[in-house]
Amino acid sequence: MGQIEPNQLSRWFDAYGPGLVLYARQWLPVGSAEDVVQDVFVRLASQRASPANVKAWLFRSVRNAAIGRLRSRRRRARRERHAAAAQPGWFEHRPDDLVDVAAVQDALTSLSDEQREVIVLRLWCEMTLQEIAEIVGVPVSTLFSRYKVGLAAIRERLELSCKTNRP
Amino acid sequence: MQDEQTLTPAEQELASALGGLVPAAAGIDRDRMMFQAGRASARRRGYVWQGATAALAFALGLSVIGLPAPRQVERIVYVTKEVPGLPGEHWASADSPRRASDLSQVEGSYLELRNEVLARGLDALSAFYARAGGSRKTPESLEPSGGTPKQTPYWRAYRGARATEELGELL
Repeated sequence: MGQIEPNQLSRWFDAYGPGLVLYARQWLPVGSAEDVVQDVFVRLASQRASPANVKAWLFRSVRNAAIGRLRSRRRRARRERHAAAAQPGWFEHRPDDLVDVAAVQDALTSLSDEQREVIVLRLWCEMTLQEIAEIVGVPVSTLFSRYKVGLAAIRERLELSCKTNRP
Repeated sequence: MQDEQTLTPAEQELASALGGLVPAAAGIDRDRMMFQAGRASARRRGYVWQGATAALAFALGLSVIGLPAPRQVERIVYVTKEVPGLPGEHWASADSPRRASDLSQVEGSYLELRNEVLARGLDALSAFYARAGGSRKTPESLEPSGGTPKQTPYWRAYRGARATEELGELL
């Protein structure tokens, strides 16, 4: 593995940047999440050589940094949670979406951290359960169980949302 | 995928619908990020050079400290000292006393002899040695006995060779 070239770094930023920010937002408000992702990319550039699996390295680094920052800010959690409510959404609003973006975000926030983490990585960061297992450090069977339970909870939440919004 | 195969069709449909959502674009300033990344990369390279320089300096210091003290060797050195003397004798070194004494008997210098030989030919040698006191054999004395030699080409060549030898001895 050689020195990381700027073009390569830029390509990785385009490919994984939005997913990494979404992943970091599971623990942090958007501003802090973006700071974490930027710091991780800067750290990647200062590496002596490119990691063997850059994608896994990026997500693992963002996870560790986000959880570490969350712990240091635990006392301000209430204030940040309040501020996060006014934050921009997790997803782009597009007319051809099959599900309501706000309802999905609401359903995701209702999940446990473990369920939400595996669903975000699986669906929007395009990672296999095996790759997720390497990042999270949990067996694939456990992750699959969390994934199924999380999907069921989202479905239930979305159906409830549809019933509530129905005139 | 393996995990997708074990999902129910309803779960797969939901997963597909959810996966169609696009994460919001990151609000990170790309130029700022690339600038900071480049600076971090350069800083790391600077650390590499600094570290290498420090390691080399440390190794050099160790080698200097570990060097043995220079050994003192007593040695007798003979220096030839020039002794002031008569002009024309300064080139006669102490290790050739014979030549110096021979030459001291000769009136005039080598240059004088050379000039005479150049002007008058090899006959000048005889006159030169005669003036020097006859301590050395003249070319004639080396000739076979029997009166005045004949001026044959052989005799001339022989005489020339002897004169050259004599000159070499003088020098």
